[in-house]
Amino acid sequence: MPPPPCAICNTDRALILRPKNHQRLCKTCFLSIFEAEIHHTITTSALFFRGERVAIGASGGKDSTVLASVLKTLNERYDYGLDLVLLSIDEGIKGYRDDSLETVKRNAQQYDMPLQIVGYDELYGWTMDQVVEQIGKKGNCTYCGVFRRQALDRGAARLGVRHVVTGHNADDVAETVMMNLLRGDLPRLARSTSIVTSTPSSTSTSEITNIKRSKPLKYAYEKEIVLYAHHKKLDYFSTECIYSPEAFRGSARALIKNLERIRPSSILDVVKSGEDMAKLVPGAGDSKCAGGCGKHGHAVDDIVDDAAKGGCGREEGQGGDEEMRAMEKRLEANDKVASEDREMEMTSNTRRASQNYDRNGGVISGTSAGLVQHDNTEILKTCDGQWHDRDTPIDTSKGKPKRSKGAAVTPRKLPQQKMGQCERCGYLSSQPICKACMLLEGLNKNRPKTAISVGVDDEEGGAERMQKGMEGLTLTGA
Amino acid sequence: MARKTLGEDPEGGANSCKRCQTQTATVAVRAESMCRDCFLKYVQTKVIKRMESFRVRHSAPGKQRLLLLPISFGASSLSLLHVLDEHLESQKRRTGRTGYDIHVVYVDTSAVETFPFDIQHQFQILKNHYPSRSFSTLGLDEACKLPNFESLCQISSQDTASGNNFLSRFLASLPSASSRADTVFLLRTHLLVHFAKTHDCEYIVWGSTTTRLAAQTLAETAKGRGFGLPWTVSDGPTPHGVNFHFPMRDLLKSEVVAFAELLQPSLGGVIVKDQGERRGERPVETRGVGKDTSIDELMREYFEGVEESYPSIVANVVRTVARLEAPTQQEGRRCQLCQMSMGNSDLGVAAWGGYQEKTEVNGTHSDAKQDGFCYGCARTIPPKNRYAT
Repeated sequence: MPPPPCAICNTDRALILRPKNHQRLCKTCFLSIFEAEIHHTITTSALFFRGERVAIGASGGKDSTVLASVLKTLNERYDYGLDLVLLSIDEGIKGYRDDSLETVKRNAQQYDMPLQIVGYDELYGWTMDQVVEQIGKKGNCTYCGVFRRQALDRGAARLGVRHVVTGHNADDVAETVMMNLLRGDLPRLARSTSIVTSTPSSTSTSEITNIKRSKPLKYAYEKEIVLYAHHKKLDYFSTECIYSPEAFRGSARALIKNLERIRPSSILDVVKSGEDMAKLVPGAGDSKCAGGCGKHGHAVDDIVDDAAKGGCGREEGQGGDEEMRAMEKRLEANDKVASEDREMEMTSNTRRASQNYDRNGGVISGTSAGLVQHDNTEILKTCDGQWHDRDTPIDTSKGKPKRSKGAAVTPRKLPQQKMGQCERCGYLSSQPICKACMLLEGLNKNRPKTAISVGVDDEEGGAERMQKGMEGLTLTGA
Repeated sequence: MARKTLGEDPEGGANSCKRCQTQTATVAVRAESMCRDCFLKYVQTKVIKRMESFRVRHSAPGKQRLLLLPISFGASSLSLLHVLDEHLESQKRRTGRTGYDIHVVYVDTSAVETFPFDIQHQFQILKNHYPSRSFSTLGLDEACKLPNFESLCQISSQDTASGNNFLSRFLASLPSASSRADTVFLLRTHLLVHFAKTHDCEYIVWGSTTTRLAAQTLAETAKGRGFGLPWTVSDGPTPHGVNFHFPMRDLLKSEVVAFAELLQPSLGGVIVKDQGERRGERPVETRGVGKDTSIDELMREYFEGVEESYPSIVANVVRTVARLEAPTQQEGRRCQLCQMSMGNSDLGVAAWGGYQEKTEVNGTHSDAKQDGFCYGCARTIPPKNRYAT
């Protein structure tokens, strides 16, 4: 029996089983439907405007290479009128990033796009290799993620670009939805599915702080991206970061992969659920546009999101479950404090609640009101996106004004992020000092005062490599 | 760090119970070691605390609230039955009356699933065990007789005429194990809701543990029904018109399993593992995750695994999702199948911006057939499976 014809053109032989819906397609139809869907995403979300200068966050990996290729194709085919440039971050990871940057350099020539490379060492005085040398292999993804986010913005500013597109695909978004559910992080859950994050805010004047980010590949399956790259014979770099990813993401990723096996549409279905749940997060009610309208000042996107990009964290958590273990401990401690607290207040609360009952016959809400309020307090604290900075259990009995007993339980809004600028580097931050500067402070404090080491690198034919510690190096504005 | 094994103290029982300080600790619960008695009390307290609003003093004499308790013969629902039975007996002892009453109902799914046990026999044991309670059995195929069944599954009346046979044929026609499991779950819920309404039950009390609720949360998310989560796993009113209540929501699956075993007499002999659990006994590595695994099953196994090392993370998922707020302004429509209120973008698969396919694989896609189903239900029962089976 001859192979079935393509489900779209009905003429050519179907050689591709489309991962998203198991449709059998020929190569030409697959490439064209893949491009058409991204065009659809771009137009329905009104991602770009004519004449816009857009930087593509390029790591040399499959996602950003496909993004660059597709955007170039679509820009020419549909006359978007975009001025496309490539922006790469050099984290300073030997044997990984140096090789992938070579790919990006070739891409720049192939696609005829200017390329800007921004290095962690020039921005922060630290390469990732040096960071890992100091803090070890565990937990360094936080540094990398925080640094990358800022580096992309600074690079964009250098290029005079107000809009950076990244290669986040549907798998990444689905994974982030699951991960934020697992971590119980509602604010991030609300932000993670937006196609546009961090739109220019009218309040801030600094040129490095209002750069728009978007994910044109948000609905594209990772497997289809690989297929597209393969059939278009794109030149990309497929090695993954040598440092291990965080446990939560690893766990969520494994789950997404299994879901895809069971029901191919699951990845999109999770993205759909994520978009809907974002509207149900308390205090997120007005962002019904799910980030696509380009009008609202949308939430600032995530360092955790960024950590998933640029090629890192692709493997399932081989590293440690450190992160999960730490959270488990913290929650356990919180629970303990909460339950002790609760038991103390139970007696008075229930008495009052039962009086309420007798008076107005309210059923469910009354008795457990005291308990519900307490639960909320607890979760609020773990949901402010800051739990990972906290080492000590939270004592609910201290520093919290006691709520008036017997009052009606009103739904609580999650604290909204208030954005200002970092006192040190001027970067967008909800705290007086931004995350990158905080991390740098810690790194610099422990840096040997005069660390000059001369090492021999066999792979480079015995070339001498100088590592120079730059004491007191601070961020230089772009 | 929680101990991996529950039911056995890793240090050989040399420690004394953290609660009573007298007896030897034999059970390790999350961060604590307890003796058998304190453990049983711990489980009971966690459930009773969630039954606060059903105290005697909250019920008018002579007008008792009736709660429907569906059982599956799993450890969780049977443990709930046990705790509530004791709760009712103690209320009666102390005050001469009870704050509520329960009616136990079993939905027999043997028409569509294989059960290697004699349900009538198990049922008889249970009745002897709890003589003061009333019991009913419903066949899943009775769902076909629900007044709204045809619109529920969008099938025509000539199809349903054949009854029982029809249901298994209909389920077999669905595209995947996930679709079948989801449909069975939804039909079971409809049947129970209908039973509750016709028998004046104000509440349905579910035996779902925190582990189960966490799994359900992620499963609903994976099925594209995230918009319905404020109603699916929360206590209180539901779009079904009956209140749902989850008194076991503070307990882990392993805790409930240990509880059922440690009771005297043990519930172990009555508990029947469901199809998924029986399959789950073979390690995933040898089984693999494939087409015959359902999304519900995958998530349940996932969380039973997470629970071993990270019980607080499991509990935190459930607490987090409870904070999602049901939209205040309803756009007015409810899904025919799952009954959840939905917005316009939730209607069918194609109404969503992320859905970009112009044509379905077999070309039968049409918006008319999408009518009435939410995004998730349209995935579960695709248009081609409706009307013509």
